[in-house]
Amino acid sequence: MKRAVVTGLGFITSVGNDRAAVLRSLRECQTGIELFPELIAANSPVQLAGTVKGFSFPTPDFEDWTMPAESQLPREQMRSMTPNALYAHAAMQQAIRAAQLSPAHVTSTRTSLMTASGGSLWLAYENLRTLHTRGLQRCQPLAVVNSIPGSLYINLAALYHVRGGALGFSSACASSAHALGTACDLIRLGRQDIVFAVGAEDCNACTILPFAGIRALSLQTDPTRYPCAFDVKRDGFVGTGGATVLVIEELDHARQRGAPILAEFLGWGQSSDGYNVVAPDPTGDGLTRAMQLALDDAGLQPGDVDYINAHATGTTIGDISECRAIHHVFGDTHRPLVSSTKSLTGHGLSLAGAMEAAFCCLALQEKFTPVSAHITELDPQCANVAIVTQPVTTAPRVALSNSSGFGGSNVCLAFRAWES
Amino acid sequence: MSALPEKDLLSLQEVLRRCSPETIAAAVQFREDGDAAAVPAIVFGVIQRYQPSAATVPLAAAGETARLVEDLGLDSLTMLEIVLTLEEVLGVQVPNEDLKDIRTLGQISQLLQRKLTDTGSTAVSTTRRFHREDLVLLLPQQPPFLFLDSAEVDGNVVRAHYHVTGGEQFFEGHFPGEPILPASIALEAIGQAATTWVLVSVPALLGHPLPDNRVLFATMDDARFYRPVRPGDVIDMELTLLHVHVPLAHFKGTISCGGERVASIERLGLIFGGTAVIAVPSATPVNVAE
Repeated sequence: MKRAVVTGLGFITSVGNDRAAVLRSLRECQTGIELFPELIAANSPVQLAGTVKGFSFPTPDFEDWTMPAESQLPREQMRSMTPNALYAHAAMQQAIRAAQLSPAHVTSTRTSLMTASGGSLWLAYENLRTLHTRGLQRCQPLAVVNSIPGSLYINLAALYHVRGGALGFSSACASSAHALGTACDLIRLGRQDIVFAVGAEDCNACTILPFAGIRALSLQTDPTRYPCAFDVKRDGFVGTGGATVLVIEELDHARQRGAPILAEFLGWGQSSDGYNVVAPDPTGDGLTRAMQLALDDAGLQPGDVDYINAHATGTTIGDISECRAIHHVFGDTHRPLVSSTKSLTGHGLSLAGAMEAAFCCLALQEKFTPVSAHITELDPQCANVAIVTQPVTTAPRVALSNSSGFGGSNVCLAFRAWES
Repeated sequence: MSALPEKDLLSLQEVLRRCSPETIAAAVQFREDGDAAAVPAIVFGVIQRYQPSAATVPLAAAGETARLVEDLGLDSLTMLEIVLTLEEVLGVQVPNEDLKDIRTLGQISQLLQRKLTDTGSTAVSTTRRFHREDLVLLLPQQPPFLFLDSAEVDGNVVRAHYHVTGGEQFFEGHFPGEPILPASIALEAIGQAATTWVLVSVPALLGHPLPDNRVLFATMDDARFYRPVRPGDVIDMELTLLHVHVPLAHFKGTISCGGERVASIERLGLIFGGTAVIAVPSATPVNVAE
């Protein structure tokens, strides 16, 4: 079997719009969360969000949108865009540059695009409102393209002239982890040389607020204390959007072109709880199996794992079932360090898996362990695992990234530091 | 004439938000007095707002004959955006069928003015229009030897258009480094336009379908060429029927490009209807009917 490595990253996230800024935020424990005027204006009890800086979407009309100068596009390419696809475009630019890919690499028939986004619920809402109140003739011609979840791969595949596979994954908050797992398979089976794995999500009331329906969102207003996964005072997650791109590449292909290698993507596992539409199985059985499958696929023993980037969104049941799963797999003798970076970034939904996998790659390459922020009183039910409440000096060599989505869909991704 | 209600004015300003003040003024005037004379200014203003900056011809320099795609750089989606805006401003409906035949700036204004003056009139145009995909089904000539993109048959007249892309294979040799459309190909193209007329109109004249779609050149008299055609040009062909004597049809035709004369043919004869066989002896067709 071939080996997959990570050769480029791109970030548009609440904690930074480039690698250096993201790294600084993670190392220095700086939050990307703040009071979100859009939520406050909507008279919402939910007021915090992991806001994306440097972009604005004041109206559904793309000609009113602002973005960093280097990511601006002509109107014929903008008119099918969604906020999430535009974030992803900016992250793609960074990832292509970081991986030192030529246009020929990007457009090769052996380069694929695996994406994950929930679509732009905001534009879907605005477009359908136009349809119902003003009639079919008043809808923008590309209204369907900029509404559906597929708009992420549709826009990127056309914009970057991707000629291998191009598709979108839909497994709620595990979506981009599934995109990454599939990317890993495509490379290891020798079917592709390069795969862009992309997670992206709008950052607005339409994407975030529906989660208030199941009381999953934090109602706090102080971003220096909340969200706080694993802490007794946690009261739910804080939403965020943005995009992360990982360039997954076949090892020999990367070596031959002298590409920078950040980490090895060892393997992955997936499972389903078979339990409930939204609640995770409290025993953690599904996630346990996903982690065990990932270890098997990666050829790892539990004792090899140094760090786990937990799914840990900041909901009580989610935190507890995940800790049970981790404890089940790793026991008490070797306890890998565990943290939730969502306490700094917010929960990126379809973006989360890709964003946190990229954080793991940064941690492995830059030799640091991300802290689980805002913990003042650890939940005793989470004391069965080694949660990083304070900065540590440990440099992880092997990291896992967990993701769980609605319907009990679980993914675990395994990475190892690259030592040339 | 009455002043536009505040609500309508606001919605008009919203629809024309990125258009020039002159465009909004023209639209307000149109709404107030319904005078179709304001239409060209509105069309100009709306196209200006959507025209990509990379267009070869700036709108200010474009005349009535400026081509929407080749000169103004508008793609089909941009055309839709323009039409949606114009429909809303002018309160007209433009069916997709009408839209397919719009090629120049002038044709947009003409179409809209016709829509506006044609209040409920049921007058049906007798023009039959054919796009490349229709022509592929109609004509015996097939790509890469089909030199028509569209054709209109209107009574005894047929008009056809072909965009010379430069990708045609014969340019490799005609001539290396200096591609010029061969005159023989220009004659072939206008022959295909005439063939279109024959296949569309002759069955109606005869009252029965033709046994096959084989139509061949029979005669060509006094063909003259005035200027070369190069890749990127669109050639416009127009033929007028002189007479039909079964199995022959004779036409007089011209080819032009951007309004300039390219070629003229005093007499172009085609033979059709089963008597046209591949091995036509050079002199026989004239005997058949005349």
